[in-house]
Amino acid sequence: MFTGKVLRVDRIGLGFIECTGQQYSFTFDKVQNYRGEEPREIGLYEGCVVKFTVAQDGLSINNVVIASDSNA
Amino acid sequence: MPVVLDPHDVAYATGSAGVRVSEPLPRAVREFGYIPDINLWQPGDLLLFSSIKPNWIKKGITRVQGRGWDANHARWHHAAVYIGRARVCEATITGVAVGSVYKYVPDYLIRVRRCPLFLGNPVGAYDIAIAALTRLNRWYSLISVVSVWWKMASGLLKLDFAATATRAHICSHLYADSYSQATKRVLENGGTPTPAALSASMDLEDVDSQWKCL
Repeated sequence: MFTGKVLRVDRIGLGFIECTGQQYSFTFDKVQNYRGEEPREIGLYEGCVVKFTVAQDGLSINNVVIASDSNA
Repeated sequence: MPVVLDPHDVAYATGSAGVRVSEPLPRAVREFGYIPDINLWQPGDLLLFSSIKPNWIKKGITRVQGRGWDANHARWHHAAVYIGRARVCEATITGVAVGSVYKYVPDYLIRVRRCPLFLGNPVGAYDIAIAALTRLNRWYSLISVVSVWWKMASGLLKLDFAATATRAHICSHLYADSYSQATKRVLENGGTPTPAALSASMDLEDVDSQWKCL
């Protein structure tokens, strides 16, 4: 599992993560426990820290977990 | 399974606290607690909407359509083309636009119809969605609305669904024209393509729909 910083959150349901110089995109349905809330309500915002897993293709994201210490 | 999605009848809802959504949902939808199971829909499907609490305009639409169609068909106020990912392409008062289907939850009945020519051929069905999307940003035609209204009110509604690629758009024309463009056929049931006529069309089949728990 990687740890990265959210670069951008788009209300159409897209987010971008930066991790070790690489950028990854994800859709909100990959975010653990996301049920259609406003992203900020579950702690998903630009600059927050997330943990994520990458699929075998090395590009797409399987799962995003918002780190409890997001402000760290 | 119900063919019409009725927010007052969620007895057939499936799933529980497990559905994954890919975008923020309106507060009203989250408070309602159910969303349509869009996995049962495919791009190119016709979506019909009927307001549960119709304003005077929608009551007027029902009344005028009721002169040509029975209540089961006359109650549909709006039509849109499903394009996938919970998005619809629709003619609104500001023009042809893409919007979220969730804005119709939970205040509308929803009915989904599909062109049987594309059963088992979802790639072909995309052509209807694409044809609708080529009309993006076209102006909504108040003149067309008044014209359809007048023809129905005066009993002159026996136009056919002839494809008229250049005509301005109201909601039901958008689907009828996109259908014609994609299939090279004309929807036939002898009426102006109002939502009621699309509801009654024998050229389309209902798609089973159901609610899904959030």
